[in-house]
Amino acid sequence: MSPVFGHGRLRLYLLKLLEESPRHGYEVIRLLQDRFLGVYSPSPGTIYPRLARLEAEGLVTHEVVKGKKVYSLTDRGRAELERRMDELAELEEEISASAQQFAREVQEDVRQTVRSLREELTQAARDMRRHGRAASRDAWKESKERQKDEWRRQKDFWREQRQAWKEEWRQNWDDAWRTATGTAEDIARVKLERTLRKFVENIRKTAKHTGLDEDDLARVQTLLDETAQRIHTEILGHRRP
Amino acid sequence: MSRWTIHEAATLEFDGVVALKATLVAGSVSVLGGEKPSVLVGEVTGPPLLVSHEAGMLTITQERVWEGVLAWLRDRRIAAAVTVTVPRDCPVHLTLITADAVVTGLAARTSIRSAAGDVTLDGVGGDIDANTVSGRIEAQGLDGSVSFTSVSGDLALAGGALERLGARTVSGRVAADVTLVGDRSLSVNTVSGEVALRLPDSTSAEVNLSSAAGRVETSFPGLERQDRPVARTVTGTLGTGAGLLTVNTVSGGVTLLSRPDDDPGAARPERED
Repeated sequence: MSPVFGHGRLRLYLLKLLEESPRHGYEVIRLLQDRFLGVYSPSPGTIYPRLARLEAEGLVTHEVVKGKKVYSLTDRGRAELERRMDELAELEEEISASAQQFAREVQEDVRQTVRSLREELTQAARDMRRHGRAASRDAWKESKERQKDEWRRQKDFWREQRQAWKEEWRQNWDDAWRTATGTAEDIARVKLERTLRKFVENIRKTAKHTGLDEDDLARVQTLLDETAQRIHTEILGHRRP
Repeated sequence: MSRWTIHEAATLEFDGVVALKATLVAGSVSVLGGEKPSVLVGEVTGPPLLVSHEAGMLTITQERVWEGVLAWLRDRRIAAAVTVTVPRDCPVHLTLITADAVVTGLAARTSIRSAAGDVTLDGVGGDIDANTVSGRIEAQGLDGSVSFTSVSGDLALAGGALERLGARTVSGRVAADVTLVGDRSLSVNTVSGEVALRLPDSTSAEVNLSSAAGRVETSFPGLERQDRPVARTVTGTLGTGAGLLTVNTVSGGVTLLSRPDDDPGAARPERED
C-alpha cells in the first residue's frame, strides 16, 4: 500500500521491532501503525505470514505465552539486522520523512477544506441575502401600492363629502333667505332652481361611474335641447307675452 | 534530565512524555498523536534547537529564543522544521512567533500562543485554547471546547462537534460549520470581523445575534429580527432552547446559516486512516 516499504524492507523493520524486545503479532501491528501515524496500517494478513516466513528462515523464533505467540529475534536474525544496518538507517530516515509528509498533508487537507468552507458560506449567505432582498422588495412594493390606493380612496371620499356639504349648505341658505324675504313667485323660482340643481347633480353623479365618449355627449346634447325646447314651448312659452 | 542541542537533521526517541512545550520563532512544528514519543528534526537553519526531557516534560526551544527576536525575524535564514510525536493524552503548549504549526490526533489539552504563525488543527479533542495576534487558526474535526482570542487572526472551523466555542477578535473573521453538543454554548464577539456560522437544522439554543452597524442575517426560520438605528438584532429560540448562541459585533456582519442534519458536515471529506 505504501511506498514506505520497498522490497524486503517490511521484513527488515519487523526484525528491528523484534530486536527492541520480544513481541506478539498484534503488538507488532499496533507499533507499525503508531510509527507510521496511520499512513501505513498493516493488516494481520500481511504481518503474520511474514513472521512465519522469518521463522522458517530461522531469523525469529516464538514461544507461546498465555496462549499467544510471542516472537523474538534469533542470533541469525540479529546478524542479518547487523548486516543491513545502513539500509535500516535509510529506512528510518524515510519514516521520519513520512511523518513530516503526513503533517504536511494534514495541513494541506485542512487548508483546502477551510477554503472551500469559506466559499460555501459566502455563497450561501449571498443566496440567502438575494432571496431575502427580493422577497422584502416585493412585500414593500405591494404594501406601498396598497397604501397609495387607500390614500386615493380617502382623498376622493373627503372631496365628495366637502362638495356635497358645501352645496347643501349654500342651497339651504339660499332657500331660507328667499323663502323668508321673497314673494310667491320668488319662492317658485327658488323651487325651480332646486329642481334644476338636483337634476344636474343626479346626472353628474351617474356620469361619474360610467365612461362617456363623443357620441354619448352628442346624444345627451340632443336630449337636453329637446327637453329645453319642450319646457320653453309647453310650460313657459304660453306665459310669454 | 536530558538535554540536546541540535544543529542538523536528527531523530530523538523518548520513554514517557507527559507534557510538551514547544517554542519556535520561525519554521514549522508538527505535533502528532502516537504511541512512541519522538522528536524528528528535519532541518535547522540558524541557531540550534534545544530539546530537554525532564520528569516527562518535553521542551523544545530555539536557542536564546527571547533575545533579539526582531533581529531574527529580519534574518530570513532562520528556520527549524520539527515533527513531534507524543501520546494522545499528552497536553501540548505551543508558543510561536512566525512559525506555523500542525496539531493532529491529540485528545487532552492544546494551548497555543502565536504572533503571526498559522495553526492547523485536525482531529483534536479536549480543550483547545488559541491566542494569536495575526495568526490564523484553521481546523477540522474538532471534538471538545474551543477558546479563541485574536487581534486580526481568522478562525475557521470546518466540521466538528463542540461543547463550547468562545471567540473574541478585533478584526479577524470567524467562520464555523459545527454541531453543538453537551453545554451547547457558542459565543462570538468581534469589533469589525465578519462572523459566518452554519449549524444543523435541529440545533437547540437561545439565539441572540446583534451588530451595531453591520448586517445580521439568518436562514433559520422563527427568529425575530429588529432593525433599530442603534443595532440590528436577531433573537429567538431554536428547538428546545437548550444552549446559548450569542454573537455581538460592532461593524462586522453576522450570518447564521442552517444545514440539513443528515449532511455530515458538507465541507468535511472523510479521511481514511
